[in-house]
Amino acid sequence: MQMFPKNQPSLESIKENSDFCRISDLLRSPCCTILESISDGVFTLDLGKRITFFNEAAERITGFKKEEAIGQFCFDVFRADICQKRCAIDETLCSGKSQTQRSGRIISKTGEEIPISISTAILRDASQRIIGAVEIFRDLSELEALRREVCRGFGMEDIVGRHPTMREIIAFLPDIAESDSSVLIEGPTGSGKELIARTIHQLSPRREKPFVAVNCAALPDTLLESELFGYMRGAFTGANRDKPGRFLLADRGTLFLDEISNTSTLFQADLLRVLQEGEFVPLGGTHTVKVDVRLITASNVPLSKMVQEKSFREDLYYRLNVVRITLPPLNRRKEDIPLLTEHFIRRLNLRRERDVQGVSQEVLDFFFNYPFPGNIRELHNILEFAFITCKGPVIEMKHLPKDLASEGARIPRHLSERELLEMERIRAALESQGFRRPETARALGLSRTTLWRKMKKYGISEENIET
Amino acid sequence: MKIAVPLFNERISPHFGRSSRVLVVEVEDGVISRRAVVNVGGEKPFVIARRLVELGVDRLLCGGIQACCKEWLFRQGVSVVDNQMGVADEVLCRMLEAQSERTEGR
Repeated sequence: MQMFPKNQPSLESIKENSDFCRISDLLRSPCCTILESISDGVFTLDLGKRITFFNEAAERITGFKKEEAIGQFCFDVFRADICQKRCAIDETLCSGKSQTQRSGRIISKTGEEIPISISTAILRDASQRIIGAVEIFRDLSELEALRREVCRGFGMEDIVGRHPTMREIIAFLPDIAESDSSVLIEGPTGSGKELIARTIHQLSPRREKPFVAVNCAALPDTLLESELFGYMRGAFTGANRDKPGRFLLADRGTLFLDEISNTSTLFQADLLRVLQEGEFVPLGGTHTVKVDVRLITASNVPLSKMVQEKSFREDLYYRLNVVRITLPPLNRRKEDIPLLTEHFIRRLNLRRERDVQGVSQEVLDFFFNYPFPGNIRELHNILEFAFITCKGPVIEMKHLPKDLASEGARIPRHLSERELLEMERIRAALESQGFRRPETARALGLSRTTLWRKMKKYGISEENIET
Repeated sequence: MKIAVPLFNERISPHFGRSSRVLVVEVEDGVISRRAVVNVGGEKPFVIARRLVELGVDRLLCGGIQACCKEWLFRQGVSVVDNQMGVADEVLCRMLEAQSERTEGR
């Protein structure tokens, strides 16, 4: 049941309302200072569910200023998923009993979905008359992030990016997830392919079923086959028991095959057959096993190029490439570096129980000019290293790995507008010429030596340019 | 132009994805020509968002909405006016009035 008056009085008349005034009086006491200083969000309501007090933590968590919140209905500001059907305040006011540690999710003013725990209690005046209620809520974002970190249950929240390409990819993910089609994710090493795959699974109707990831490059062909399709007891020496393969483990869920480009054409033929028929025979087995698996594959080299070079089966490529996502390298989305840095520092603070506030301007400038051949993973590793060497609140240049700091000395700190344009022109030319330096130099009207010198100056290499 | 407003009784629903009751109005020359309250089914943000796109909605008037959902709708050609609070009809009228004033001002 929802309780709020149909006729809405003006904010001025609400503020003159006697219950509103009583609560305001009640809060004009030392306890108000205490409520203001605690880290949990606190707000109080009158019996009409209008907000009468809103502390600083409530402002921080919801994104609404005190002035915007006071006098409004609590659900219009608090915006929790339980507001409309299982309102904790309604239950408290009806039963007179406090509610503790109820969980919910609110939507902040900026559209962030924040997990919270909610506790509520009745507010009484000096004569014990009920004059309203109080709601206390705790932001559980960090706890949830830690849980995701431990369970590797990454979601949309972990994809950080404002770069137009990233925004496009993020907005497309729910459609991809819903479709159940095969997905091919391409992007350089460390650009976040597995995170995208996990997010697609999390958003898909298969989310309750397993997500099974296999790194194809980590296993030789024969092992990869037994790993994926499983084997029966006695199939080979040492096969003492039946072992279900990853395909079977991922039944009704998602199977993620990373570095698919590293498989042999023989294995690709086997994989194609399984995808076409939806069934396979485990090694040493006699019966076929049927599976319902959504396949997501990833590659750090463009598969189309491998198809042209005849090192990847064309028929399998078309089977895998129903939906393709191409992740840009980090040096192509530099505007995301501060966001990613902040994101990783928050995660590392949680994991290491630290309170690092951020990186110095000098470090940030260095990050902007560093080519990041290892992409986002490299940025994460640099910060993880800095967490060991840095004991204070701010990560400085001296906290970065030594080889990186010397690399930094070689990289110009600030590139001029002209230099930036030149860098982009060289990158584009290299890409269009398939990274063939003589052709690129010719196209740019430079000598090969000059091109090499300029590539070195701007930190351009094949690894960090290819997508 | 078709405008959708998820409802919480007669007010704008504060949490997008928690209300499958949606007020859909068609606006012609700044005036509401048709209106209906439809049940779009499901209580998940993207389920509702997809349904709104299928209904041919051009603008969504809502309370809180998840940033990713807002971005998705934007890419489907739906403009999102979020952080709105109050009685749906009143907010809608205010928005149309402001819009017509802006048009006249030109």
